[in-house]
Amino acid sequence: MSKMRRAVSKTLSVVVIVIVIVAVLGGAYYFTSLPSTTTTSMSSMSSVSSASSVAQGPVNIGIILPLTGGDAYSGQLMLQGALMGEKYVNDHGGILGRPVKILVEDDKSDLPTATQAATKLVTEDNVIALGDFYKSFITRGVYSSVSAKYNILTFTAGWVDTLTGVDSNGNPNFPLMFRAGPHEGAQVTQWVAFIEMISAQTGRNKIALYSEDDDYGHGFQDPLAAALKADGKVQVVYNNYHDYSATDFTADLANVKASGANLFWTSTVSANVMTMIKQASLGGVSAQAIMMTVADGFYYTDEYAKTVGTAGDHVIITTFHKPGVVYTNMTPVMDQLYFQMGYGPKVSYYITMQVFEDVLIIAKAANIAGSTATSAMIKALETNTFVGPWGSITFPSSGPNYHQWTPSMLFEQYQNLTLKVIYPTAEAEASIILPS
Amino acid sequence: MDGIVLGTLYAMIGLGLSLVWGLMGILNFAHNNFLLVTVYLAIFAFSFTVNPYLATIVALALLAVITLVAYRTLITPVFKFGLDAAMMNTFALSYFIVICVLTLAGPFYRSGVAIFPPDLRLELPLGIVYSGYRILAAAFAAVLLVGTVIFIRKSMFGTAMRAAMQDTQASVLVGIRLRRVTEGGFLIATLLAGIAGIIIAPMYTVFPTFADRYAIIAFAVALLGGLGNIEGVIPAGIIIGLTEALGSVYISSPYKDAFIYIILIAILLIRPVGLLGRK
Repeated sequence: MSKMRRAVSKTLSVVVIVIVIVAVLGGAYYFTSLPSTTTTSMSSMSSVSSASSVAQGPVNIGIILPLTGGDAYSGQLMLQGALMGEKYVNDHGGILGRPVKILVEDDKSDLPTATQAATKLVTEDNVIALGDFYKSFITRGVYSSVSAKYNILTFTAGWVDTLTGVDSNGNPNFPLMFRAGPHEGAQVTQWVAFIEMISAQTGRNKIALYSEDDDYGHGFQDPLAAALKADGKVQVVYNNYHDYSATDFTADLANVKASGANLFWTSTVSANVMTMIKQASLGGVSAQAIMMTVADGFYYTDEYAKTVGTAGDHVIITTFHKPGVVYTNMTPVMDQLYFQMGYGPKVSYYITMQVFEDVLIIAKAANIAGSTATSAMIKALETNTFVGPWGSITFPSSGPNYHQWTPSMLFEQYQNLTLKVIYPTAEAEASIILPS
Repeated sequence: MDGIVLGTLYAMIGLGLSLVWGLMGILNFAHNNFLLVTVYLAIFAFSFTVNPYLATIVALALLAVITLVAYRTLITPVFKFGLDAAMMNTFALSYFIVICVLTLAGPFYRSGVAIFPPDLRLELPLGIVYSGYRILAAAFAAVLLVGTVIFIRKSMFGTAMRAAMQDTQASVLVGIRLRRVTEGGFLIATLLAGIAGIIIAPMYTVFPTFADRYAIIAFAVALLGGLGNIEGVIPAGIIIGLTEALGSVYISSPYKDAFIYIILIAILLIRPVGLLGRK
C-alpha cells in the first residue's frame, strides 16, 4: 500500500475513533442524566426537612418506562410526568417528612427487561411502589413475577380493561394494582355518546371502525362495535383491526372507502396515527367520512402539522387534557409546573399528567397512612379522595371499577390545524366542521 | 396496484443486500439502518438547506462517507478472521446506528423529506383514489432499479463486480482490484438503501426504529430473488409486495407481516437458492 493511502487510512481511522468516542460520551451523558443517577432528584430535596432526610434518606418510587424502542416517544412524555411529580412532592413536604426519589428504569418495551428492572428496584432500591407501565402485557408480567411476589403497590398506564376491576366471581383481577387513567372499556360509553350525537347532528350513520390491536391480539374497536350494534342508531359497515406495529394502512383504507362509511373511527396511536391520517386523506377516506381518532399526545406538535399537513384538518381527536380546561385547582398548577420545568412551549400531554398524578397519589396515600407499608397505602387509597389535576379521584374497593378511576374525555377537532374543543358542550370552544 | 408500488420499493431495498452478499459473501445486518440514517441525515440537512433536493444530495454524500468509513474500519480489517466476524460487525453497527439516532435525534416523531409532492392524490376510474406520491416513488424506484441493473450489466465497473461475484480468485488473477470493486459495490448497495429510505419516509412517520421492518423485507426479497442475483430482486420484490397487499385485503390485514415470514420459510425449505438463484 502506498504511503499516501496509509496516511488516508490512518486519518480515517482516527476520525472514526473520535466519532465513536463522542457518540459513546454523548450517549453516556444522555442516559446518566436520568433521575435514577440522583442529580435531578437531589436538587429538589431542599424543601424537605434536612434533619429527617439525613436521618432516614429518601423514599424511593420505581418507575419503569419504554425510554428506548418503538414506544420511546411515550416513555419520554411519561418521564416528564415522573420528574414533575417528584419535584412537586418534594416541594410540598415529601413523604413522611422524607424526600421522594424517582428511580427510572428503561424496559425497552420488553418484558424480561422490565421484570429484571422491577426486581432490582424492589430488592435493591426498596421502592415503596412500582409504576407506570406503558404496555399492558408488561404490567401483567411484572405484576405476576414481582409485585405479587414482593407485595408491592403497583400503578399502570396500560389500557387493557382487566388490569383493574374484578373477574366474573367478583374477585379482584390484580389486588395490588391501581389505575387513575383511561382504559378501553370506559371510553366506549363516552365514544358511543359522541358518535351518536354526531350522527344525529349530521345525518351520517354509517361508521367504519379500524384500530390497532391490544397486547393480546384483540382489536380495540371490538367493544365499541358491540356497543354501537346494541344501540342500533349507527350502522357499523366496516370492522377491522391492524397489528400495533403496522405502518401501512392503504389496503384497509381502500376497504373503508369502499364500505361507504361516512364516519370513520380509529384507535391507532403513536406515530402510526399520523400515517393513518395522511393515508386516509390520500386514499379519499377523509373526504368521504368524518375521521375520529384516539389521541396519544403529539397532536399539538409542529411535527403533526409537517407530517400530516392539510390532511390533518377536520380530524377529531380525543384527549384527556387541554391547557385552559380546568378540572380542579391542581390543573393550572400542573400546567405551570410543566412549563417551569422546561418542557414547554409545547403543551403537556395526558400521559405526562397521568404519571405526575400517580406520583402525587402514592405520596399522599403514604402520608395519609402514616406508613409506606403496602397494605396501609392500599387502605388509604381505597378510603380517601385525591384531588389531582384531572379531577377528584377515588378508587373503589369492590365492583367493576375496583381500583380504577377514569378521567373524562375531551373531543377536539383540528380547524385550520388548530385544536378546538367541540365536546362536551360545557367545554366547547367551537362547533364541529364537516369535511367538504 | 399498492402491491406493485410497495414491491418496487422493496426490490430497491433488497437489491443492496443481495449485491453485498454476491460481492462479499456476507449479510449486511446494518443494511436497513443505513436507510434509517439517511432519512435522518436528510431531515437534518433540510433544516439548513430548506430544499428537499439539496438535502437529499447532502444526506447521500454524508451516507457515502459513513459507508466508506464503516467499510474500511469495521468490515475489511476483520475479513482475515472470517466472514462471520464481518457479519457480526455489521450486526453491531446496526445497533450502534439506532442508538446514535436515538441519542442525537431523540424518540420524537418526524416527517420525512419529500422529493415529490407528498399530498398528490389521483382520482382513478371506478372511484379509486390513490396517492400520487406512491406512484411517483415507485416509478422513480423502478428507473433506479433498471438503471442499476444496466450499470452492472454493461459498465466496466459492473462487469468487474459480476466477475468478482462469480469467482473472487479468478477476478484477482485477471487484474481486477477486488478491494475497490467490493468497496464500490458496498457503497452502491447502501446508497440504494438510502435513496429508498428518502423515498419511503414521507409515506409514513419517521422515528428511530421505523426501519426495523425493512430488515426482514430486504432479506426476504434478496433470498426469494436468489442471494447475489441482481435481476432476481425485481420479481421477488413484486411478489412480496403483492403477497402483502393481497393477503392483507383478502385474508387478514393484522397478519400481513406474517405473509412475508411465510414466504421466507417456504423459500428456505423448498428452494434455498431462491427463485432465480443457481445451485
